[in-house]
Order: sequence, then structure tokens, then C-alpha cells
Amino acid sequence: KAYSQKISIHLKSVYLDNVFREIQRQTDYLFLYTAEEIKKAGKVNVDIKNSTIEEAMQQCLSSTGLGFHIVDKTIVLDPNPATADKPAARQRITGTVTHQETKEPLIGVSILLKGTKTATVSDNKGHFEIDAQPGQTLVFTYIGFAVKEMVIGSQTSINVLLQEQPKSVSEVVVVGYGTTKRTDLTGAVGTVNASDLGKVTATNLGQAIQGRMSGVQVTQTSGQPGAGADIKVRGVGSVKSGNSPLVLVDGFVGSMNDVDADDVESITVLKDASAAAIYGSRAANGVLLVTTKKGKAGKPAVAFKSENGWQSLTKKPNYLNGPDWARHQNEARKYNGKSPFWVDATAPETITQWTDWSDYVFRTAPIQDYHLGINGGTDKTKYAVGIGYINQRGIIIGTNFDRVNARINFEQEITDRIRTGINLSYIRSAYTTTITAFSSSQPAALNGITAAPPTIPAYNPDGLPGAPRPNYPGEAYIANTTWKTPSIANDILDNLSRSNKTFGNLFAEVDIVKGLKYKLVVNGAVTNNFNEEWTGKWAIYSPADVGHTTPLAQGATASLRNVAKESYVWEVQNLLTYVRTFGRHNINALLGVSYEKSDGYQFDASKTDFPNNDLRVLGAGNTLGAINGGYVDPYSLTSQFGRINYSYNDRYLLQANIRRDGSSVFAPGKQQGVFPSFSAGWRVSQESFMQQLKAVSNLKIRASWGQLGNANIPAYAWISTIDVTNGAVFGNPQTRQPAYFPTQMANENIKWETTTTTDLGLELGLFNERLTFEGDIYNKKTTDMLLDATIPFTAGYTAGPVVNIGEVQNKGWEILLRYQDNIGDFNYSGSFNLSHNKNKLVNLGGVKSLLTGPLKSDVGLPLYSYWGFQTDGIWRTADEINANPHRSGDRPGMVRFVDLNNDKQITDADKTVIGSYMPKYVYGFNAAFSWRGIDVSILFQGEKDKDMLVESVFGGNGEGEDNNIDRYYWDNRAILDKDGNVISGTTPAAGAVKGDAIWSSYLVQDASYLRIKNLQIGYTLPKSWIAPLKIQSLRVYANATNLVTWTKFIGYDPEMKPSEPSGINVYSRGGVDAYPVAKSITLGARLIF
Amino acid sequence: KRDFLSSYPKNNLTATNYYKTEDDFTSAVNGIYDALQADRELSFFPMADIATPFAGFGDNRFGQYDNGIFGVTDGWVMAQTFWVAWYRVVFRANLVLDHIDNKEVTISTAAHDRLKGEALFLRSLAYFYLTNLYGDVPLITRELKYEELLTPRNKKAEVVAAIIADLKTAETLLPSVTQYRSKKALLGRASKGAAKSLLGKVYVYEKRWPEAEAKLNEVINVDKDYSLEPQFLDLFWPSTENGKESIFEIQYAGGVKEGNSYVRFAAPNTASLISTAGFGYVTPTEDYTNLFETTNGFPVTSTFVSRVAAGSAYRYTFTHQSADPAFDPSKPYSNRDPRLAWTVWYENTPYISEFQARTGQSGVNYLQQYANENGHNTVKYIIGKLDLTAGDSPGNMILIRYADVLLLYAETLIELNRNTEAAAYINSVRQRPSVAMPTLQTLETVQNRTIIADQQAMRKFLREERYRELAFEWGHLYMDQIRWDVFADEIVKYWTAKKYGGSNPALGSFDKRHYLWPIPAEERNKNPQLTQNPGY
Repeated sequence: KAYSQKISIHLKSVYLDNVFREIQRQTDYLFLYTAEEIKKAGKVNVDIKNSTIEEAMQQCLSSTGLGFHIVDKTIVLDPNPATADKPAARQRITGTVTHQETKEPLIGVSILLKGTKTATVSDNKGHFEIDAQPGQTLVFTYIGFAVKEMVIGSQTSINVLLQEQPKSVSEVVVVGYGTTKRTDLTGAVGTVNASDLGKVTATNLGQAIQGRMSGVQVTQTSGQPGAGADIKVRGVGSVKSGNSPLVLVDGFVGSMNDVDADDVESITVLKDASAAAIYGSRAANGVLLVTTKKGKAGKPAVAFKSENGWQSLTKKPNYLNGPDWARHQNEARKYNGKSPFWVDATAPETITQWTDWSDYVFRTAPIQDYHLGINGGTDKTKYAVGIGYINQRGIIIGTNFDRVNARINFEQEITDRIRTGINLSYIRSAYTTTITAFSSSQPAALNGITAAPPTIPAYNPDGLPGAPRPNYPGEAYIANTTWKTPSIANDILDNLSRSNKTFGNLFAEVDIVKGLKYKLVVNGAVTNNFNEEWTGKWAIYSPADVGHTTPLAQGATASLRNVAKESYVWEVQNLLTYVRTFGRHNINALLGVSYEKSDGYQFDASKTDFPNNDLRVLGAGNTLGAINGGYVDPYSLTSQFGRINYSYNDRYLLQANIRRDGSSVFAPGKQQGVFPSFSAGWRVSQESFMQQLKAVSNLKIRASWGQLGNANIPAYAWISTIDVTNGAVFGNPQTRQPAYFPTQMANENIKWETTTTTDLGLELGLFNERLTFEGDIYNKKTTDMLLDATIPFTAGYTAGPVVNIGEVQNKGWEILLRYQDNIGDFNYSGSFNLSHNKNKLVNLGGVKSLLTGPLKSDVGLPLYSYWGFQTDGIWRTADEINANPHRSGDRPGMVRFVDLNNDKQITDADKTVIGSYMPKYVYGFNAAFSWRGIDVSILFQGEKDKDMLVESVFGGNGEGEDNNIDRYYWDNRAILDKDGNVISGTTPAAGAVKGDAIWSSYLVQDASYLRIKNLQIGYTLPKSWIAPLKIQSLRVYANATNLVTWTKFIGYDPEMKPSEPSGINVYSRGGVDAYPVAKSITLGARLIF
Repeated sequence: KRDFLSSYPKNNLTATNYYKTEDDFTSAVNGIYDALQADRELSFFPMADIATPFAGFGDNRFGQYDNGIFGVTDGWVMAQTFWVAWYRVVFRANLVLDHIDNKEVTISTAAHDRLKGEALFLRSLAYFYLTNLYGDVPLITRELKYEELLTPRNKKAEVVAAIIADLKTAETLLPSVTQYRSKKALLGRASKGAAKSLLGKVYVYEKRWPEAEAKLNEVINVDKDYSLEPQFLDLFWPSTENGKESIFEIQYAGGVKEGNSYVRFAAPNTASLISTAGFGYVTPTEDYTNLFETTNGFPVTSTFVSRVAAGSAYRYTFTHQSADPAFDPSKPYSNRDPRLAWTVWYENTPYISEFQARTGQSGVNYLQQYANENGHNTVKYIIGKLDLTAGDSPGNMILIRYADVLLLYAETLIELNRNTEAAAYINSVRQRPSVAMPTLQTLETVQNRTIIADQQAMRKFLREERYRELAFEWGHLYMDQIRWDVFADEIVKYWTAKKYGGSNPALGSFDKRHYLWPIPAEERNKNPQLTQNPGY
């Protein structure tokens, strides 16, 4: 019979023989004692956990004056112990607990006198006091830090340095509806903790996790202040139902925009089916669990952060100056058989003044970020308060983002069996812009950077935006188009988008019997959005028209559109958990039911004809434009779920999940879906045969299989809806009568999209966890993918039903490697993550391939592949054209398309995949150093094998002759001789690229990049300097985001990426109408009082 | 009882809880009319006449059409537009017919009969055009489930049989137009007379002469619900639409987004100063004006002289001749059949003053070069500034009118060798008070030839009378030429003659098989069961 020899006993006021019996039950020791000795010793209290026999004996005998010795598994009581004749006098020990790297005091560290119940916590200055005897051991535990033990000697003052554990085996990880030890995990889970989150200056939490996890691709799609980041977990698997992960803030549906990064304790990403399956129908795209900071027992700790800095373009565009732009226009017109504009008195050489529109539009913009956190409580009452404010002005003039957020977390232990708490958050954000449009129908100033002639001044002496001069036809085109110069747009637009969100939860938790807990959680959120889009009256005049008599161009009426929306969502969770250990059997089970419901309304109205540009409320407009909207689609979800974790001897881990979801988006009777998962782990390192391998501190192999759903299914696809807005006319006089008819064909059998994931993982820790490795390979297959069926016109419906027919596969692998160590005071760590994903559309179920702009989804291709002609440089001579397959109208200097199928002609059959905007590899490298008070961390982040189809830097968007272009295409353009043959150059001749939507590989650029995503240098001031200021800790730091970028990409930034085709934004125009990503440098300070 | 998960759309009705009450069915039947009234779909069908030698142009969508469907391919956009539009009518009618006889429906007998009759009539109308334009077409008579959608084509004979059966039912269910005339809110809906007239027309198209005679006789001599509108022009004017000659019209109203944009596409260009000036897609040829005799009944012939560019269009010179002593070759269009001026814009047309009086516009002018081609534009439906915007014209489009029925009846009688009776019906059309053209008997004298006694001559005359009376209204010219099988000859003759200095590059590729339109390529992609018509 083998025993672990670890003892846990919890007994109160009992005689020693009871204790000994318990010890005998748990171990193979025998006892030798007399009844007299037991009686003399009196009743004792014992509370020990996982202790050695020695520790256990010491504690239970500590109040008795008895001693003991062990002879060959037999414990003999000594009436007069020789080693400790008399108890040593207890003395008061005082000390301070400090962060080893930052030297900040650590608040709320629990300090336990080993083997006893004596414990305390450090206060807000990191101080603690405890009574102990020399020789006893103090145990310091603090979440996220390595446990430290110190033996008390003769000293009465102890200063303890705790070292942070970035990823250690003892780490507690937030998982669905609970937490677990990292060692117990059997699924693929990534985490980021507060210390890393604080390192990035970001208004969005999504950006803060960028580059820090494997298998997670975070892309900053826009540099617009306050804009969110695009997050993908292990590829994309759906055409219609979205590919964004489920985000839960403290267990409740939310978004990454809902929380201030300074309020966040940790973010967990559940990547595989095993980890995510507890969220069933919503987990197919992965799950992000955001956990906010909770109160900690101790005196109030007040932490204040202030950060200020500047942002600018990551790369300044290189457009042509005035004379070169005019030369380009001349050359392009000549190429197209037109007469040049800029000749004689207006020859390019005569242009001495011009506007660099990118200089007008882009600026260096300030950002400020403040956060105040208060944290404290007692054993029974804990609270945390966070208040934050961010003001971020955009790098595009006229753009500004403000956010105020406040949150309160309060927990109360009512009895030792009942705990309750409340979490309440409010966040208000407002984005204003006077230059970029919300909707595409408005003039887009960003387009104006290349569309507006540089020879036009931004502003005329009369203070109005610059206008084309009547005798300069090269400038004229602006007058008759809706593309306006950036200065016109800036003068007339005034757009505001505001959002208020209040959300939170209430919970109560009751211990029913040992190990069994019941928890009730009520979540709720209310969101109000308000949009205002104002376009003012405007007119521009020739500089010569001093009296402003004849506008060259104008917008005669002002218009205003308001959209107001309110939506709410609530959820009730009932959770039953059971955690027990029976000898070597560990059981952790969860059973839950939840109900969720969401609804709302929307109102959308617009008016035109405002008397002037000052009256900007709907009431002031004369003509009603439109009233629209009026509703938000409701949904409800009922769920039952269960999970059981079983481990034997901490070595063999098993987990099973099941969730049954019912959703209102399906037909009655078809609403339920069941999502099971199973996983297993083997902690090889715990096996006895591994004990000789001292270098291996952790080795775990895990495997999982499971099915997940994608619930972003359009509501009411199952029911044929009847449009009630139409009418037909009859009668004399004719009147419009209601005419109703169904528009979309229904599919009653519509059901969940299902993603089946298989995952194999390996975790390895070497040299006492100094080097850790984690690797996963996975296969994700989405079946029953929803697609819009194509139906013949004879069906009569305008749209086909949504049917479950497609199949998508994502296969990939990901690794995470980390090393940390110290040389004396010098601590260093590095981590590297790399993810590879291969996406393939396996089946379309007979539905036509999907083609939107250049994005094609077809069987055998990755979703949203770039589709077009392969190109082979440019045509150089007319002879070359005649001798080869070409398109009609091809001339030297134009792009040469490849006849892929060798049929001697260029047709649609020659089109092929010319790239993909989904990177094959995503990686990050993070290094951190600290020495005394100085700390440095640097994060490199990159994407490899990623393409971007860009249109506009080439000046090829239809106004090709007039648009400005990137200098690269000017410097390398084809130059033609008098016969029209190319004599030099590698890129097309000026005017040879037309915006006729012929997608080709010529437009596709390699958008792979590597960048210093983040660099932070901090200094924590020595205690002695700041103590007089009554400050506990002060750290100052400098932070840089997107500091350096290595890429071949021509354009603003390679990270901007097209979104999936929904509406018009199907491909990037090379950053010409997407807000460029910014670089920022900030200085900050963190103060703790 | 609604449980937690039950959820229904907030801004739509749903099919499961619809089709229960009289209101439901009224709105659903209105939905069929809505499909008919959809703009830029069926409202473009009058342009079908530009395929004939009697009109041209048509720009993008009708470009191929203009050239007499030379070189039409299965990608031709209008073949798809009309296919989609008519099948939408079929679909919405099927929805009504699928449900209206359900037991749980609460509806009065009168409403049930009328609504069911309307649905049957409209579905028949749709199949009439579908089968005559495309030949064999899928005959769908109920809403199909997703799994059933890929249906093959049915033989034309089956389709025609279904049309006839449905119309026979419809005529028993539908009320007489006289009831609508007293109940003005219902005016414009399908009536018993409409069903009978369409049925008569179907028989004529099928050359089932005795049945055609019987059915059309009922309309004309038994029911007597209709009579000719005294003022020819009033037929095409909104204020007098749905008049006593009207049998079935597509209803349009301006200002409530229920208008059509035909005006925008057919009206002369802006230089004419017509406030709704447009793109001039329908340009009658000199061949067409030649059909109109002098008021004394003499024919007029023209000879092409020259065509010179004038602005973006051309100026044409023709010489005209007529045996009529009252005819002045310098004013070739004066003293002609009054319908000429009410059908064709020509230089200095007297219609300008009438138009200005009716619209309250001034300064309107018309020169040859205001037409894109052929020097003329169509007058019908061009109603000036009554509409709020040019794309929202309130003018109804007339699908069937009494004059059409009279001429169909005359045609039937000719085929039955009852020429004298036929002549009386042709005369009645010619002698509408505002037209007042000489009778056939008078013409025989004036022109010194036999017409009435000669079946061939009567056929030819009747055809020309139809051209004169019914041009550019609803594709009558085009559909008539196809059914008479004169289209190919006429169109080849027209282009071979090169009368107007233009030529048709696609002439050599004309294929009589193009009498039937192509099944749209996109539809065949979606439904591989559909075969293509020969020649495409």
C-alpha cells in the first residue's frame, strides 16, 4: 500500500488520539503513546493541508508540550522533548513585501505561519506584522507570483521580494464559468495578464493582446481613434455568420470596447473545442474571457496612472508634388490621346506653390489617458473601483475620441457560507469627425488626398476652401464630382457617434454541503447609441471672383441625419459546482442553466434644407428626408450545460463538456443544438519514472475533440417574411393601397453551423519552469455552413433561403516558447509565439462560388481569396503585343496579363488566385529585462505570407489621369519613345492603368510585415526618494507603439486589412479610404498611495 | 402561447399567420399588381416595338433589340428583366390561389370571387406573355418548396391550355367593369371584360377562330361594357385614364413612388423643352409615318434623300409623294390621319400646341435632331410635367383596350371569311370622332381598288390598321409581326433597303429562330433543367 504521505486534517477541539487516527488513515505511520499522555495534552485544534508528517506532528503537538520522534514509520511521543525543552518565546516579526522587479510594494499578500493557522495580509504599503518563533517558516503567497518561504531566524524584521510568475505551473486560469489551475487544463488556452495589458497605449483592449498569444490574430484594421481591433482565433470558418470570437466580460456577453485595459486583471482565450465547448453554440470562433480587477483584503490602495503622448502616421505617404503631378497628368493625357493641360504659361515648371494634401490631412495628434483605481476591503468585504478617461485625437484632422468609464466591484461575505457581490460598469464614448464620412455617400476626404489637385490651395485668401482656377483645366474636374477636396470636406462635415453603455451583474453564492456550491448570477446591459451626420452648405469661388458671384461648385442645401438606438440584453445563470477530492481522485463538476434575451429599438431620421450652418437639430430642417429603422432584431437563448473534470493522482486528466442551446433564430422545434466535447491530459512529469529527469519540471500531453456552434445566424431565415412597405395604386382618383408579398424564401430546416475541432497539445517546462514550451496542432472543420442559396427567378422570391450546405476547414499549428531567469538583480525573460493556419473552402453544396469585387470564395480555395489575372510586367513593344495573347486595346506601357490556360486569348478563364489577405503565419516576440528599478520590454509582432490588393496608390481608380500617385510608380513608370514603344521603366506608363475593375496580380502587394509593436522603458523610483512624499511607489515610463515597421508594402500601413465582404468595403483601396494605423509615443507615470 | 424562444419579426408579417382574412387577400392580390407596376421592368415593354421596322434606337438595354433582335444572346438583359418580372407576377398570384380556398379563411363570397378571379387573370396574363415571348416555359401554378424549384419547361400547348382554363374560371368570378365604374376605388382592377378580352386574344394568337369569334362577340355585342374614347389622345392622358375604352391598364400614380420612368426613356431630348425630356429611346421611322393616309384616304410614299449629322443626332431629308391633290410635299405630315400627330413627334408638329395646352408648358419645340435617330419620337405616354419627377410618371399603360378588341374581332371575321362584317368593325375604329378617317368603302373608291372582297387585301389592311392604331403602347406591333410571321421579312427588307443611310452590321446574322427570346443565361445557370431555345 503506497501513500502520498501528505496530510490534510481539519479538526477542532479534539483529543490527540483522534488526530492520530486520522493521520494513520491518510498515511502508513503507526503511533506509540499512552492514554495518559493524550489526556494530559488536552484538546487541540488542527488545521493542516498537504503537510508532511513532521509538520503535522509539530502543529498538533505545539500547544501540548509534547515532542515526538520517528522510528521506522512509527511515531513515538516524547513526554519531555529534547529538541525543544520549552517553547521559544513568540516574537513580533515585521516586514515589507515588494515586487522583485518593479520594487513596488505588494498589497494584500497573504502571509502564513507554516503549519499553523496564523496568517495576515500585507497592507497598502506592503507592510505586515505577525507573531512567530524563530525556526518557524513564513509562507508568502500572492496571485501571479511565486510562493516564497522564509525561515525566521533571530531577526524581527524581514523584507521579502516576490517574483512575478509570468506563466508558471501554479497559475490559476479563468475558464468558462470558473477558474482552474493551468496544470489541470486539457484544452488549448491562452492568457494575458494585467502586467502585459498595461504596456500598450491602446484605446481598445483588443490591441493590448496583439502579438502576445499564439493562435490569435489581432489586427488593428483602422487607426481611427477608439476603433476596435479585429480578432480571429484560428482562422475563419463562416461566410455568413461572422468570424469574431465571443467576448465575455466577467462572464457576460460584451465587447473588447467595453472595458478600460487598466481595469482588467486577465484575458483568457479559449481556442479549442474542449476549452470553449461550455459556451456551445457561440464558441465556434473561440471565446475571449475578460476578467476585471476585484477587491482585495487590506487597507485601501489607491493607484493612479497618467499617460500623455503623441501619435503620428507610421509612414508618411510619398505623393507627387505639384510640378510632378502636372507632368503626370500631361503624360497620362498624351498617352490616352488627349491634349495636355499644363503647357506654355501653365507648364509644370511654372508651378511653384502647391498643397501637399497629405500634410493637410495628417497631423501629429495628442493622446491622454488617466486611470484611478481604488482597491481594498476586509476578509469579508472587498471592493474595487476604477475610473478612467481617455482623450485621443486622431492623426487625421478633425477626428477626436473621448471615453469616460467607471466601474465598481463589491463583494460581501454574508455568512461563512454565503457570498454576494455586484459589479457595475458605465462607459461612455464619443467619436467626432469633421472630415471623414460615416456613410459612403458622403464625400470622403481621405480620397481627396489623391483626388484633389495639389495645385489647388487648401484655402483661398477669402478663407473659403481652395477652388480650381477657371483657366487651369487640369484643376477643373473637382467641380463636377462628389469627390471634394479635403478642405471642403473638413469645412462642411460634422459627424458624431456617441455610445453609452451600462452593464453589470449581481451574484450570490451559497455553500450547500462540502464541495457543493450554488451560484446565481444576473447579468444585464443597456446600450444607447446616437449618431449625427451633418453636411453643411458650401460653395467655392475662383480666387479671381472676389465678389463671390459665381460658385465654381457648391452644395446648396445642408442635411442632417440622426440615428438613435437603444438595446438591452439580460441573462440569468444558475450554476451548481461540486469540487471534491477523494484520496487521489479529484472531481470538479459544473452544472448550469441560463436564459438570455435581447431586444431594442432604433430610430433614424434625416432632413435637408437648413436655414444656415448653425442650426443643427432636426427641427430646423425644412424638408423631411427619410425616417427609417425603428427596430432591433430580438433574440433569446436558453442553455443547459455541464462539465466534469476528473483527475487521478494529478496525472491523468479527463474532461467532458456538454451544452445544449436553444435559440430563437430557428423554427419552433428546430431550436435546440447539442455541443459535446471531450479531452484528456497526461502529466507525464508527475510519473515516478520522470523523477530522475530533474531538468523536466513539467510535461503534459493533451488531446481534445469537440463540436461548437456559430450562433450569429440571421434571425427569421426559417420563416417567410412578408414585406409590408409596398403599395399598388387603384381607383379614380388613384390611391395607393397596401400591397404585401413575401420577399425571402424560408428554410424551416435551418440549423446551427457546427465546427468540429480536434486538438493535440504538448506542454513542457524545463529547468524549474525557466524554459517553457507549449505547442498545439489542430483541425477545425465547419460543416453545415450557412450560405444564401441561389434560386431561379421562377421561384418569385427576390432572395433565396439561407441553407446549411458549405464546409470550411482550418488546419494549423501554434507554438509558444518562453524563457525566464535572473542573474542577481538582473531579470530577463523572452517569449516567442508563432501560429500557422491554412484555410480552405471544402464544399459549397452546389451554390455558385461567391465573388465580391476581387474576393472569391470557391471550393478548394481559401475563403475570400483575391481572384484575378496573373500579370507579367508591362508590354514593351507593339510587336510583343501582337505576338502574344493580349486584350483588345493593349498598348505598350500597359500591364501584361498571362494567358494561363494557353488558349491564345485573355478571357475570364485565365483568372486565378492572386493572393490572400489572411496571413499564413502570425508571430510575436517579446523580451523583458529588469535591473533594480529599471525595466525594459519590447514586443515584436508580425504577419507573414499575407497579401493586400490595393488600388489607389497607383492612381488607377478611374480618374487615373488626374489622381496623384505614389512616387514609386512615377519614378519607375514606363517611358515611351516616339513610336510608342517602351524604352525604360518597369511599372505602367502614366495613364495606362484604368480603374475598370480588372483585378490582377499587378494590384496585389506583399503585405507581410514585422514591427516593433511595443517598446516600454520604465523606472521605479527608489523608496528613499519618494517616502517623504507619502507615496508608496512611483514608476515613470516611456512607451512606444508601432515604433518601427519592416515591410515591402507601399501604402500607409500593411496592418490595415480589408474586412470581410459586407457592404461596400470589400477590399482595401490601399489605405486611401481606410484610416491609417498610427504610431504613438507616450510618457506615463503610475503612482500608488 | 409564446414561449421564451418564440420570436417573430417586428417589421414584417409572416407567411404562417397571413392569408386568413379578406384584408390579407386584398393586400396579397394588390401585391400581384405591385409586381406588374414595378418600374423599369414591365414598364419598359412598350419599347418592344423598336425591334420592328417602325421604330428604332433603344441605347444600351435595347441596343440589340433595336437592330431587330439581330445578334441577341442569352445574356441580353431585357430578356432576363421581363422573365423575372412576369414570373414574379406568377409567384404572387400563386400565393393567393394556394390559400384563398382554405376553409379557415374569413372572406365574403363577393370578395373571394373577385380576388381569386383577379389572381387567375393576372397569372394568365403573365403566362400569355411568357409563352409568346419564350415559347415553352415552366408552368408553375403553386408556390414551390426549395427542393422543387428546379422545374423543366412545359410545352407551350400546356401553358396555353392552362391560360384558357384559368381565364374561363376568371370570367365567371370577376365582376363587370360597370361595377368598378360605380365603385371608383376598385377601378383599374381586372374585370370580367378583361378576362374575356384576354381569352379572345389568346384564341386569336392560337388561330382558334370560331372560339375567338364567340368570345370577342360576347365582349362587343353581348356585354357591351366598352366603347371607343372619342378623343384618341385622351387614351394616353392621366386625367382620362381607365376610361370607357380601357379594358386593362397597368396603374401608375405620381408622387407616391408608384410611377414609371418610361417617359424619361422615351421622351424627346432636352432641346425640345418638354419638362420631362429624356433619352428618346423610341424613334418611329419614316416607314411608319408612311402608313398614315391623307385625310382624304390617299396613301403617301417617301423617298430617302440624305442623312447629315446634326449635333449628336441626324437630320434626314425625304421627298414625299401622294396622289391626293390636297397633299403638299413641303408639309408632308399635314392633312394626314390625325393619329399620326398623336403617335409621332415630327418637326413643327401641330401637336405642340395641344401638348402645351394640356401640360401648361410653353416654349416646347420639336426638330428632327431632338430624336436620337430617325428624326422622330413617340407621343404616346409622353405627358409633360404632370409628374413630379421624370422617373415617376403617373401615366397608366394600356395593355388591352376596346379598339384592340375590335380589330382582333375584325381579324377573326376576316379569317372566317366574313369580310363585310369585319369592315364594319375596322370602320368603327377609323371613325372614332377625333380620327374620322374614311371608311374602307370610301377608300376603295378613292384608291380605286378592291379591298373588302379580297381576303388578302383585308388581312393587309387590318394589319396596317393595327400598326396605325396600336403602335408604341404595349408591344402590339412587335407581337403582331411575330405571330403573323412577317417580322423576319419586314426587318430584313428594311435593313437591306438602307433607306436611311444607316446600316445594320448584324444583318447577316439574323435568325428567324430569334422569334423566341433566349431563356436568360443566368436562369439556366441557376436551373440546369431549363433547355435553351434553338439559335442561342
